[in-house]
Amino acid sequence: MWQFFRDELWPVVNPGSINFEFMQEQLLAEEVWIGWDHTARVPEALKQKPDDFLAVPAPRGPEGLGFMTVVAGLGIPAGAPNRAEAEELIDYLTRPLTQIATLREVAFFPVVQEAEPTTIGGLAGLSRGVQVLADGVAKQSAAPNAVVTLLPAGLGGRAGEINKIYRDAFTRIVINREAISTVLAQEGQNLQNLLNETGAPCWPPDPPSIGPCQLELE
Amino acid sequence: MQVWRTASLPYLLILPALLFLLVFFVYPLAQAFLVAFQSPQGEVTLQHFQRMWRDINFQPAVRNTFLLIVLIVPLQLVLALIIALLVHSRFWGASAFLYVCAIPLGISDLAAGIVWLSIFAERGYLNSILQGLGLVDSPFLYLSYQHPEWLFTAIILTEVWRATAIVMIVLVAGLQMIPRDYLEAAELCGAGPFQRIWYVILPLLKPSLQTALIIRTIFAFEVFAVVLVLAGRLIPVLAGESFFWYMDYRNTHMAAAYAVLIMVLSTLVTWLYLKLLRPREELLA
Repeated sequence: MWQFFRDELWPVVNPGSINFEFMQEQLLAEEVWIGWDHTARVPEALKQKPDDFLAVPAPRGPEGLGFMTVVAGLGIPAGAPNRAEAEELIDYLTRPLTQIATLREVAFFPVVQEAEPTTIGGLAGLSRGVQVLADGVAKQSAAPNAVVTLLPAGLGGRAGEINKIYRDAFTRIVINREAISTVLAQEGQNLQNLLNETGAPCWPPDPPSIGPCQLELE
Repeated sequence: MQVWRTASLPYLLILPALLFLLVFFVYPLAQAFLVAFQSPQGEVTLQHFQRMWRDINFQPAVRNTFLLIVLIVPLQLVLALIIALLVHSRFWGASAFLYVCAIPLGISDLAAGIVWLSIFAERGYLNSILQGLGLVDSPFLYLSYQHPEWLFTAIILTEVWRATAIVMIVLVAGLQMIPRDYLEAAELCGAGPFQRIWYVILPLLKPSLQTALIIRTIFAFEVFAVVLVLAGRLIPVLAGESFFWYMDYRNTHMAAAYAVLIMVLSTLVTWLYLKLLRPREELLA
């Protein structure tokens, strides 16, 4: 996979992409024609030019169509002074109309059945751009052999260090062109150390583990 | 009453400023220093420095920071000296010239970075002008990792444009403190303009040169926003690494380790400047 990234994919990728933050900027400026990003970082492109863009699911791999879903949780800290009002706020945020407003403004998809964009559609005042985005997300979730993947969970305050491991692996393999097996062995060891130190069990799509998640290092 | 007023009055007058510094500078500094040596469990450890040493970006960060300092600071010193001498010669329009040169003092380094990004970007001013004149067929990616020499050039240009004024202001003030009698005496003795600069002005300017160099070098160790805007993550620098460890990877210990390193290096270089540029006693009299 890394060989494919380095030798076949990277040569056709915009070299400035290492520093790209919100893909909607580059899509609108036509510096890229195909971009992958979180749904919250592309809606501007779709809102401004809904007829110029398509929202398509992630590519299908040998194990299926993997995609990441970010679950934004709502919670009340233990010992909070205004528990009743906090519960009212959570109730308000999960009402269908509020969910639709959230979708319309920041492209965060509803978690409530009644607010499903495919059922509400244009009735909810969704712009054509967000509708395109919603259709793409719906197709992705409903695809056969879709593999839902969560963000790394259970790492507590050290979750940010996973970013570093992936970034370093990419930099070392694709940019610095180090030997793939060496880099994977070393960064894999870093990841395993991180999992051991934080005690994080495996998260979906992997089955839950007893004790820290163990990597399969070939 | 008289004795009390003269003896302790100075200390009482600086007490508010001193308290402010202690609370908002010294205390956080000491805390950050300690965080670099503490493990998450609270024990004293060097593990963060060991991890910093092994990090793939550490050596590039040190190398890039030093390279930028070595290229930028001398260039700025020479330029600032030329501008200061020009202003000092009181030619027609010298004050306006001084103000124009000092304009970049008023903008932040992030703003300066954005200004020069708009020049060097793929669809920036430089590419547009060159394409308009027909000198190039397609935009040249100056700020890409494939052209590190252009990345460095852009950063150096921006830093020189932005921060030369800092050095210049100190040198202008220093020049004004040199009595004109010395220069007139030198002229009477037959010294030409370059000889007057080399034998009279520069030695008397040593205290100001020392101050300007110390200030500029300490800031140069902290070069960050300009590099971030122009090169993103392509050119690691020490302050940038500290920033990413704190903001992206959420590890305060590693960020503090980098910060302690910057502090130690700045202190070392300041000490070197103080030793090497020690002005002679006659000048201080």
